[in-house]
Amino acid sequence: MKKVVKSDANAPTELKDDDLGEVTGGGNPLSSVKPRISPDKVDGVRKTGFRADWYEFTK
Amino acid sequence: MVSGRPVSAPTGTNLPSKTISTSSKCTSEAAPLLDAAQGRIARLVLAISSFGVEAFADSCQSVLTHLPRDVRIDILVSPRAKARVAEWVEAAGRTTDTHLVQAPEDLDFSLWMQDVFAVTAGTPHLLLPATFSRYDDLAAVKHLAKDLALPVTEKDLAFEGGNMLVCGDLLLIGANRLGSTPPPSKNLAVRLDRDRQAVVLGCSDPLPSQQKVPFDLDGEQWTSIQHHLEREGRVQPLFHIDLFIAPAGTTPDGRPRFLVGCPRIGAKLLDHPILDHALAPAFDEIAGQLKAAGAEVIRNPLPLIWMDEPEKRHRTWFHLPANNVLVEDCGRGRSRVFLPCFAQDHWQELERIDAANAAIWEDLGFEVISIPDLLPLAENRGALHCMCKVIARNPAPTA
Repeated sequence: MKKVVKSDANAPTELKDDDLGEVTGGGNPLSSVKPRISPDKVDGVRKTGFRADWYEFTK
Repeated sequence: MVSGRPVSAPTGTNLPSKTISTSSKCTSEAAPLLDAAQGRIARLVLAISSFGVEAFADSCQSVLTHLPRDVRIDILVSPRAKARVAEWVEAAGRTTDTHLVQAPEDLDFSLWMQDVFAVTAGTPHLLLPATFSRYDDLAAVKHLAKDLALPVTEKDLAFEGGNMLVCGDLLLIGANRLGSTPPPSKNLAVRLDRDRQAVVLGCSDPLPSQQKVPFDLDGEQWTSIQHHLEREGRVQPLFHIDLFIAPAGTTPDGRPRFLVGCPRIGAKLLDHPILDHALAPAFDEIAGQLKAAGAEVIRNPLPLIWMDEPEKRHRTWFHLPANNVLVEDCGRGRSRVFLPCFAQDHWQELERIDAANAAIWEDLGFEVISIPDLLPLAENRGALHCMCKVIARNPAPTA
């Protein structure tokens, strides 16, 4: 049984593949790649997608 | 500053504000805010920009298709988006109750109309915050209101519509602000609606801000982006309370009832581990504050999931905004909830979450109208309630 990640939330730690999560059968669910659906940008227009993009608002 | 206990609003509170445009009949500034749940939705506004029409096409069409035909919808559109949105409106069979308002070409606004203003009950009177720094959203609302002849008042206050929930006698308000001005307080709630009891929701200790953590995925070095877009010092598990708290009617003894999302239940349904950055204890703390305020709280699945950008080798984590619903609380047997649903593409397993949440609402006596294809909105930290700003409701129908 693989272990569940237990990291200090305020101190990022490097994760290893084995740390990704507990497997309940049939492979680690967190190893599945889930491509983003919404486009990050649209040609010719300003990106106004993220609801909370504080980093973008303040540019 | 942070407390889950309600406070009574003093009478005679001054409301420094400036009415900048009015229709022939202007609602009093002291009018109560529109309830977030009680009554049938009569009118709402949307905003679809040049970006939104491309990025959120399927989601927008789903919303237009599934909302009731008797709801009047006003849509602010960029010139470049107007023709496509008009096609969607026609395809949804709602040309008689939908009005498009064309925005200036140079106005760059988001889809998220919920956040930009508050609105009074009765004849809609829009209350704008003193500042709102996201894109051109504030200017967009002013343009829309002027075109629709809706009265607008600029308040000498800083608030975000998505971080408040007006429910019966309560005004829930999140303790965070996206901007850098002072955070919300009970005084803010009092000045917005003097007749409701303010409940300010926030955790006792600050929560982590955005972090980038390296990890190995199938032998490649990736970056895990956790607490995406969250700023230092925040005390809410999600930046707006409407992402994880939903009004769900009242108990038989008259207490307000809320659904509060739970990452643990969500993880269990998906057979995922419970990760620290799901912040489950923070959601528990907010739920506890609502209970302390006298509400009944029901927990529902709200999992932490992710979206990958393989070309960048980035994995960005986000909570599924399953409680970002539109509610019509009209009494048992007549109430409805419009439920955002997220199972699509590479996330078909989210059907378990959609179904579990629908079952919870049905058990509470709500008819559930599912709105599919909203995962692209969730990737951008919003969903149904975030994009639909209800500005008028009709009284609940009688049996």
